[in-house]
Amino acid sequence: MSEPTVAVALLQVFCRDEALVGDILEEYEFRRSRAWLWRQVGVAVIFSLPYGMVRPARYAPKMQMPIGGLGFVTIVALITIVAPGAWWFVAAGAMGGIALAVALVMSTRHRVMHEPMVRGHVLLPFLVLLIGVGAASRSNAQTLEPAVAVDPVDGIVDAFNTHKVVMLPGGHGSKPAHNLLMKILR
Amino acid sequence: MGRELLTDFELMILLAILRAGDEAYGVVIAREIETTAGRTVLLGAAYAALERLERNGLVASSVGEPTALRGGRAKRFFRVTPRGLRSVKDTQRALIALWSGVPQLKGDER
Repeated sequence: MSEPTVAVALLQVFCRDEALVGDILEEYEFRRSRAWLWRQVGVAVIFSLPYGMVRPARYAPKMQMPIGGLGFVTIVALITIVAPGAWWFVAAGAMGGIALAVALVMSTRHRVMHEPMVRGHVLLPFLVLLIGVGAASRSNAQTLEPAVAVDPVDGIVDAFNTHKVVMLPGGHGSKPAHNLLMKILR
Repeated sequence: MGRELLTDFELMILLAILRAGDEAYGVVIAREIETTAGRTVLLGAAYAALERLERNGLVASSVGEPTALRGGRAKRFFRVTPRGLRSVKDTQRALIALWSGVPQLKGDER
């Protein structure tokens, strides 16, 4: 029977004991029950949560710098050209990500060097993530420009240049609407 | 200092390790408890208890050779330390003392 990929990935991320992962897989080969497997994986993950996630071993070779660098430059160029205002969102997201990474590293270091973390500390990364998302959405909201009053005739004429379809009210029985339409036509 | 008594699950784990002998690793311990005590064992919970017991010096562990059946992962073998054995005996004595002299339990085989 092939190794259950998703279950193994979850175990490798959360479980710090390779022997436990091996035991679950060995018993899964014997029982061949997915319900049994997922119950075991769920409990193993829950019991591992106080210890934080496991740092994966660096078996894979590092990404080639030219490819990574080209991708980075492309993303920067796209954001700058298409949506410069999104830089606030990216910056806030990056800050949140860095804060989350620092919290995770600190928790893992604490686990390795001292006693296991208390359960309350598990909430810290989520709290940091929430703050990051909140800051990002706030920054994004700040990029919207305030409304500025313009001359109605100029505004409608501009709309013809920037939009494919522009609707105008009929002037039937309304003197101001009729005057506006006439002003636009002139 | 008072005697160090164990929870029922810790006691089962220590007894399973003692019964399994040198081959006591997670799967064997879980199977031993399931076949003898009829209790379903979740390996994650068993490892959490084993780590607690190891931290308290009641069991010791050593890592074996990786095997292909386990996706190249090694087994972790457990053994009961002298302190762990003393705890098992203390718990046994305490339970027997509690057992004796209970009229409701006399003459009941089941």
